[in-house]
Amino acid sequence: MRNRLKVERAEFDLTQEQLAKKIGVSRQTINSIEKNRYVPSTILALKLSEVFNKSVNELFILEESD
Amino acid sequence: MSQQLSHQENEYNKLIKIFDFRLPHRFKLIGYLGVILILAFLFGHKFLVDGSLAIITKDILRTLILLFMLFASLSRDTFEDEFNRYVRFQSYVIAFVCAVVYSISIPLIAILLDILITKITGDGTISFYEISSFEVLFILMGLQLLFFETLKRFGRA
Repeated sequence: MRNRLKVERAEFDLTQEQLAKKIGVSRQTINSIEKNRYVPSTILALKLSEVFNKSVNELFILEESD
Repeated sequence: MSQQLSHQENEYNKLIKIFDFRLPHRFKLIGYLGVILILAFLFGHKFLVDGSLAIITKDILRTLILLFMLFASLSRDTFEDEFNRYVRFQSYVIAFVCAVVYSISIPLIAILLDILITKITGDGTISFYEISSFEVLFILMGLQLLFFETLKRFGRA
C-alpha cells in the first residue's frame, strides 16, 4: 500500500510536526506512515482524511501485492 | 442477552485497561539508572574488590535488576500513541520468541560442546547446563527494551 500523505502535506503547507499535532500523534508516527513503515489504524486514517478533506481511498492506495 | 453482552463488554474493557496500563515516564529513567547502578556495583565488586557476595545479596540484587527492567519496560513514552503501542507489542513478541529460542538452544549447544570436549579430553563427564529464571527473564526484558528502542528508531529514520 502506498499513500499520498507527503504530497497532501506539501499542498497544505504543513510540516510533519504540525500535522502530528492536528491529529494527536507524534511526528515519528507521521514519518513512519509516509515512509510506508507503518499502516495507520482506521481511526487515524479517518482523522487524516478529515484534515486533508479527502477520502481515505484517495490518501491510501492499495497495490497489486496487497 | 443484552445484559450478557454488556457484561462481556465490561470484562473486555477491563482487560484493555489492564493491557494499556503504563507507569509514568520517569520510571523509564529510574529503571535504566537502577539497572546500570546495580550492574556497575556487581562488576565493580567482582573485578575491583575481588570478593564474592553472599548468595542472598546476589539474589536480592538480581531481583532488583529485573524489577528495574520491568519499570523501564512498563513506563510510558514521552509521547504515547498508536505507533508506540504497535512497536511495543512487536518488541514483546520478538523478545518472547528470542527468549524461548535462547532457553532451548543454549543447553543444547552446551551439551554438544561438552560432548566434543569430553571426546577430546576423554574424561567421560557430560553435564547439563541449566538456565536460571533470572537469565531467561533478563534476556527477555533486555531484548524487549532493545527491540522497542531500535524499532522506534527505525520508524524515525
